[in-house]
Amino acid sequence: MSTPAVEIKNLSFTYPGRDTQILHGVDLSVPRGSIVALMGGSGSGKTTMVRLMTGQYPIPAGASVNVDGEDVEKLNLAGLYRLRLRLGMLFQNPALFTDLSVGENVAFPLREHSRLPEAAIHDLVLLKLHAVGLRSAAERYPSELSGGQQRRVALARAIALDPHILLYDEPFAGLDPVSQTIIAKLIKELNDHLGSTSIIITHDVEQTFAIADHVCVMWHGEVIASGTPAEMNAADDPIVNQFIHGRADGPLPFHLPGGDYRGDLRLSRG
Amino acid sequence: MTEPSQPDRPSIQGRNRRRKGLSAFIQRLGWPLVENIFYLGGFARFCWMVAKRVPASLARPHLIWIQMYHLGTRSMPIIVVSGLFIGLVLGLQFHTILDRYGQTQVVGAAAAIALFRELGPVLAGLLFIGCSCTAVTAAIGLKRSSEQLAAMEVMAVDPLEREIAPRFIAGSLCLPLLTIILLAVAIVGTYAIVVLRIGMDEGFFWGNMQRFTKFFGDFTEGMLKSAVFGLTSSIIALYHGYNARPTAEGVAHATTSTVVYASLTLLGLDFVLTSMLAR
Repeated sequence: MSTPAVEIKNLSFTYPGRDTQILHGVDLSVPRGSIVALMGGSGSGKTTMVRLMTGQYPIPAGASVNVDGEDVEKLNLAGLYRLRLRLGMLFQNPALFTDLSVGENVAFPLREHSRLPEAAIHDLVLLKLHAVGLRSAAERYPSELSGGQQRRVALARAIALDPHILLYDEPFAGLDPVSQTIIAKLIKELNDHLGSTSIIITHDVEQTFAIADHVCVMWHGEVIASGTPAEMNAADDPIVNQFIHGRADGPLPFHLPGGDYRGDLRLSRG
Repeated sequence: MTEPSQPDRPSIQGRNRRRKGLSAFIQRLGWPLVENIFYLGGFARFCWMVAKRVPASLARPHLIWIQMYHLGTRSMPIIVVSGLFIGLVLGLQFHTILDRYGQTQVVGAAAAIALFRELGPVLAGLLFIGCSCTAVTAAIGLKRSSEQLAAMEVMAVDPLEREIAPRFIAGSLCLPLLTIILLAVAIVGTYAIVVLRIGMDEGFFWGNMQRFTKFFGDFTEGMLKSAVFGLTSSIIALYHGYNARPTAEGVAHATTSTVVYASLTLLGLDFVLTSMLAR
């Protein structure tokens, strides 16, 4: 049996200079070749976990984060960069380089990390853009594209080096239903064709359940439930149930915790 | 582990924690000091991180060339127009003053010395800060806020080497070149007002300028100042852009900070360099 693509053990994390702990002893294992969705309300620690996987923050003592066979906490900067060559990440904000054209954006990792001749880079860029349906937009600039198209370009850039693991941060956020379906289809196709592993951070239950092999639901920095989409649909846990079915009533609070409302309105004296 | 993108800052919680009495007074006194120590520490660390990446950036001259093109063309129009007006005003002022002593034949030389030693480097530096350094801060700040720098890091590309160091080298090279252009246009402006408008003898103008102005001394000291101003202005602009808070207000504040810190540093360094070179 092959080793997991990502294995996290006992991960607790607090951002430097802040008091609030974001992650509380998280354990997670992502099998190779699978599509795993990390779901949960805003502030539950999903994005933080992905940032820790890519080594954007130091791994705290006592925790272990193994990505593609490498212990992230033991890597120096050069080792971390070598690991990142095998990762592709789609940011929530597409993070395209606004001073470069679409084609140059996709060519960026190829030019930085390979010594391929320009003709080969040109062909590879067109192949990647064709995979996301935007071959004809190679000469345009990101500002000339819609939000969904920009995300597809970012996806083409993320797969430029044929990564082993693809990380998607809110790939469906702010997109119209058609664009959401296209992105979901692309994630599934790319995962199958590249033989990579995909980790998706998302709130979108419908699109995610259609493509994910495994779903983890996070709440207040902990993984409170995990299983197949069908198991999650049938989950008894009231938090999981409320989140998956999008119910307004339940244990998930609408209001940020705070003081007494009547007291804030100075009504308690009366 | 990766080098943190942002320098450690004093914690906001520490600043906001309510204290009373003497400890509150001490906190009020000490907090600005702590913040400035953090600023200087962060700035020194940033300078070192950029300096380490300069050799690698020099191996990719096309990146430097692109930035030189952007920085140079952005400041060029204002440098040319300002140089012309500075030359015109300087010619008029020197002619008026020297006329009182019957020494108008040295107007060209006096203007050239003033321009080479002081006005050229300082004014070109201030214009460069206003035009190019602010644009650099805003561009880097926006790249930070739109996660373009984070995307680079995740793509295993060092943003300090790819984005910051080429801009630093380009800015440092651009300012001396822009200063030379400003000096040339200013001399033409002085010539235009003194010779063409007032009617001074052309031979006296050029002859005395050549006779009294020293290349090794007047011109080279000005160029040395300009090179130092280019280095400091560029690194200050990049530091504020790289450490801008990822919001619209953060980028605006960073741009203002660049103008304030770079201008004051330039004027302070001008005094220090003038004192050292006058010995």
